[in-house]
Amino acid sequence: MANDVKPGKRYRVIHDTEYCYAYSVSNARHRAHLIPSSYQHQKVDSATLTINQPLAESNQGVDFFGNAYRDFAITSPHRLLLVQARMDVFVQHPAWPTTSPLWNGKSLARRSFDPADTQGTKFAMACATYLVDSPMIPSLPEAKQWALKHLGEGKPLHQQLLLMTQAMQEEFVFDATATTVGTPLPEVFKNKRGVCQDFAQLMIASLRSIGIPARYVSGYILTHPAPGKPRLIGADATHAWVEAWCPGHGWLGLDPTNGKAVSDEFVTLAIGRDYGDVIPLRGVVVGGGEHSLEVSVTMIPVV
Amino acid sequence: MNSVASKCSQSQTAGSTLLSGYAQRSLAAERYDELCESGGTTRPHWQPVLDLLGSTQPAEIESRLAVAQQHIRDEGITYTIYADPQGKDRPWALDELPLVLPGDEWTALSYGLAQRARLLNRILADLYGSQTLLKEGIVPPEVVYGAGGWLPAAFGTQAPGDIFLHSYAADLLRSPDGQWWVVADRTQAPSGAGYALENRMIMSRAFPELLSTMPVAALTEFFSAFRESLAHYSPCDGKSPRIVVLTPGPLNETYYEHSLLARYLGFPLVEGGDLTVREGCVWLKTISGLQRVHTILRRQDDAYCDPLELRSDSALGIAGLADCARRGTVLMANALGSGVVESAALQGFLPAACRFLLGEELALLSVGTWWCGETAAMSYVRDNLDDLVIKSVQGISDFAPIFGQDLNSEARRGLIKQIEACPDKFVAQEWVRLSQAPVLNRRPGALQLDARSIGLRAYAVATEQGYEIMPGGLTRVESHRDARVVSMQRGGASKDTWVLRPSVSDEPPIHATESGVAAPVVHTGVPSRVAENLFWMGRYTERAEGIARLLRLTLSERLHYARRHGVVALHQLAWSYGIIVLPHGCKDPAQISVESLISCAANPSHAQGLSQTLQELGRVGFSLRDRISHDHWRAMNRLVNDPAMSPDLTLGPTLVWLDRAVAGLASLSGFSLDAMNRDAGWRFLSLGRRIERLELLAKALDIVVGQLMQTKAENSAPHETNQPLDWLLDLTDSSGSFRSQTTGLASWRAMRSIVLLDATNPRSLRFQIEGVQQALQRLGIDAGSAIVGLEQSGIQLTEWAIGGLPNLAELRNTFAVLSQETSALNELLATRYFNVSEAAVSV
Repeated sequence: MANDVKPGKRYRVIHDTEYCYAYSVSNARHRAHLIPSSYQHQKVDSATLTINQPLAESNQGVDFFGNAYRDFAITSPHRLLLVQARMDVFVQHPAWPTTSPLWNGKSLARRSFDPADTQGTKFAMACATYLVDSPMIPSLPEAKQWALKHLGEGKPLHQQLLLMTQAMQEEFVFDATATTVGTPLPEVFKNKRGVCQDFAQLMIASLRSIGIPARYVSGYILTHPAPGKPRLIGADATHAWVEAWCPGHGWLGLDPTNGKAVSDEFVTLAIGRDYGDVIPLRGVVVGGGEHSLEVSVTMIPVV
Repeated sequence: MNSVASKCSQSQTAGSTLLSGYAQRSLAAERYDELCESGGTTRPHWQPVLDLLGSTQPAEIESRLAVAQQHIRDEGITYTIYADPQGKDRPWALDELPLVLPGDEWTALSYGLAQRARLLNRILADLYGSQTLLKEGIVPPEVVYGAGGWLPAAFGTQAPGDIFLHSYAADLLRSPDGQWWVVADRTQAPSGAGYALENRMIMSRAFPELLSTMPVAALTEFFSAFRESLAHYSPCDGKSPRIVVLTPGPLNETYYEHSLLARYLGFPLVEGGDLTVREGCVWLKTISGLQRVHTILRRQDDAYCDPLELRSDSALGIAGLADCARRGTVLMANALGSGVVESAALQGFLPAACRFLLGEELALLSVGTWWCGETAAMSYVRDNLDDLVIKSVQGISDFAPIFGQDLNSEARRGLIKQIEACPDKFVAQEWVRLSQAPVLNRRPGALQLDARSIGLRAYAVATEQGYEIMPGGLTRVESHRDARVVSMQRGGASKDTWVLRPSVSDEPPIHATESGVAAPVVHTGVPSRVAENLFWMGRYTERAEGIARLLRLTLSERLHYARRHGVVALHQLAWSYGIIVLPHGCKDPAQISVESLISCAANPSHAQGLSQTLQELGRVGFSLRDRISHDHWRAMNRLVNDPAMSPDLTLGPTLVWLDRAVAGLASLSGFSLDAMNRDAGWRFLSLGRRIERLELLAKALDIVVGQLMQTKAENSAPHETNQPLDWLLDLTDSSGSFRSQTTGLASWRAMRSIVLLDATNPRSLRFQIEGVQQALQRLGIDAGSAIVGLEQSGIQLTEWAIGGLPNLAELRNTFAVLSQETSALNELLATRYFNVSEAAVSV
């Protein structure tokens, strides 16, 4: 397991979401997954959510997956909704396994259901949710073929998983115009183009199809301005990656968009089965007509 | 009970043909037969039914069955078949013979059903709460999380009274040894209880003497227990609970049942758009503001209940509902997420769960079920595929059940391979030969019984004293012999289920409603959508009548063609009323052909014609099923479905049809006058009628005055205002008023005050205006400037009544103002009352 825990880094993340409506919205109800939780490698120092409209109702809670959420309702007419999330987070470099079992092509799912097998039960409690199909990630035969092709060699599983992550980056083209939030997975797979959300979900589909638990992570990644250039405010974006279960280690963060393991340059916002569980901000409004949506993200290292 | 069983072959009189060959065929089928024992003797509890069939002439049986069919059509009892390409509602299919079950057998079955409901309720509370079943390894988490019905958003639900499962249904089948088994549990929004009730009502028309002499248990107590239980568990802090029935709307396949339940239980039927969430609670949007809702009896699937937390593409949901349900500020019957225990994969784990949670042995078992995720189960499935049915853990929407016996060896290998690839997704169930029950085989001149496969859906509701079982249920019968599954979706029919009370001497005491709990009476305001639909029902009824009168008059005037003015005016009116389009390039309404008038009267594809208007009326009426009287509903159905409306009707039958339509619509008006409470809802209906009548009348008067002005300008003869205007009298149905006050020619001069000013003539202009004003006043609408024109016209009419009519130009001006006023009123009502149900969209 982890033998050299590196010192951590501090970040401030500013995540602004702006809805602009053609007509007045008379009633709106929103759910935000914009408050990060603390994990093994991440401590949240502070997190605030500011909304530019008077709130008729406001509630918060923790969902089934352990994420904090905030619900709010606005009943005064408005044409502009601005939701500003600010968070100060301390992140450590996640430990990378030095060893893991060879993958023998078999599903990690249990096949014996003896109530006395507490180890197996514990594993299932943690992983079963992330082994089965989820609303946005149905099982795909083509994903299975792809997974078998990339996970068949005789190396330890954690190394194979990293190779698969790299293969994903090599075979798929980042293209922000190729897909939308609603593009079905098979289409992404066919066109081999998309954005981080697509690649994460595709990799999850591949892993689940061969019996490796995998979950969807929504968050931020640090970008590096060109040498000599200042950091552009708002030029960053939300990011999405994958956590795969590696026996003997636990959840292993993998970023298929960039073809690398998750480092101390990643801030985790929420974890779920797929994008649908962790949408940063969703809402239902009455009125409004056409609307535009602007998201701007800035992630600044704090020294 | 009854004496000795009689040998089938020895049955006397007409019964001999009735049962001929039944026993032999029944024995050959190797199934349990509900009617005959294995030796071929009939089971005694069937005797009264056999006696009646044996002693009744086939023709009389036929006429009884016709009564039942007529009832189904008149009531508009429908069931939508998804597979039907036209998505048409299909009349409810009821088989004429009931399924009769002896009381002692039912008592045992009831215990098992109640225990099973209790168990499933506990499982739901556990899965969405402490999850000890999973932590202790009693149920594999894979089974729960992989089930189609698992709803993470329901995790942590504080169900009022810890009841998740208020209503439960089990699909039962009986194996050849006579044992009942559960083949599927229905826990999300079990359907069919209302149809069971309806079946009983139909049967009581077809076989009243059987139902009164046989000790058949009544169903009504089951529904009152349900009503009281929902009230009891409502989270209303001691106040009177407000309970609603939530339906996905008229497009749902069991909408008829939703409206029936709402009516029978006495709860308003609402759609998602009628409800809203405020301050962590659910509210009903009514014309008198928001009213708190404590309990939702829902017939809408989980995924569509809340676009904020669940499916965002759902237009049917209520944003924030899932949160209210989780916090327990609203009782959801059944709780969101309760579909998870419908999973076939869970069935094999129920005996262990029963021991763990209840400390009891499971009394009513499922048919043998193997979740392929277990190694041992997988190898059993591999070896016994012939006797198994393979299902998806996600339910029938994933794929239809596969019968192992149907597959050749190659397909079998393929299926096994498929299962082995992801075994967690498959469930195998033992294939059980269904039992069979008698159906009537209607041969000309002779009645004979035949046997068909059946399945029984039984119902339970949560009450304070535990789960109560409906003494009966919905028996489903397959349309062909030897069927392996029964399904209404696949064209099967249903049967009424007669559970005999255990002993005749043991008459159930006629007890008054025990305990001090009176049935809840809660005043519920008129939901906005209901108000809107009532308004449109008023308008469409009136519009259909106006169209029918106008067409009837135009066609008959045309036959005579004596009174030129009348014919021209009527054509002009048909055009300006928007029911006839002029031929391309033509501006003269006189060019309208007889064919297009006929088409307008009878052709269902004629845009805005009579048929389409009636269709709209039917659509609106359908969604008001729970608000209008039974007879009103039936009369409307008869009219809307009149067979005369077809593309190729000729002139003669068209006139006959129009007569019938006018009479039918008049009777609908009668119902709205005599069979409805004068509440706020009725005012909207009335407003709709007045506004529509005002519009047609203003248009007709505009044309009359226009013609008068024209003839005046042409020859300035002073007596031109003496042109006979019988058509206007006929159109406004005012000839009675006219003749009672005047003799002589129906000239404008003679009739104008009757049509315009007579406040006692329900067809006069003044009557409509005053009616609208009164209705608005009673509703408390501050209409403001929206109806200034209307008010002024009203004042003018009064002034004219005293001081005499002004010149034609001024009159015409008034009519023009009035016909604009109606659309302003429409808008006023829409923004003020109807738009609160404006659709919400996801962003």
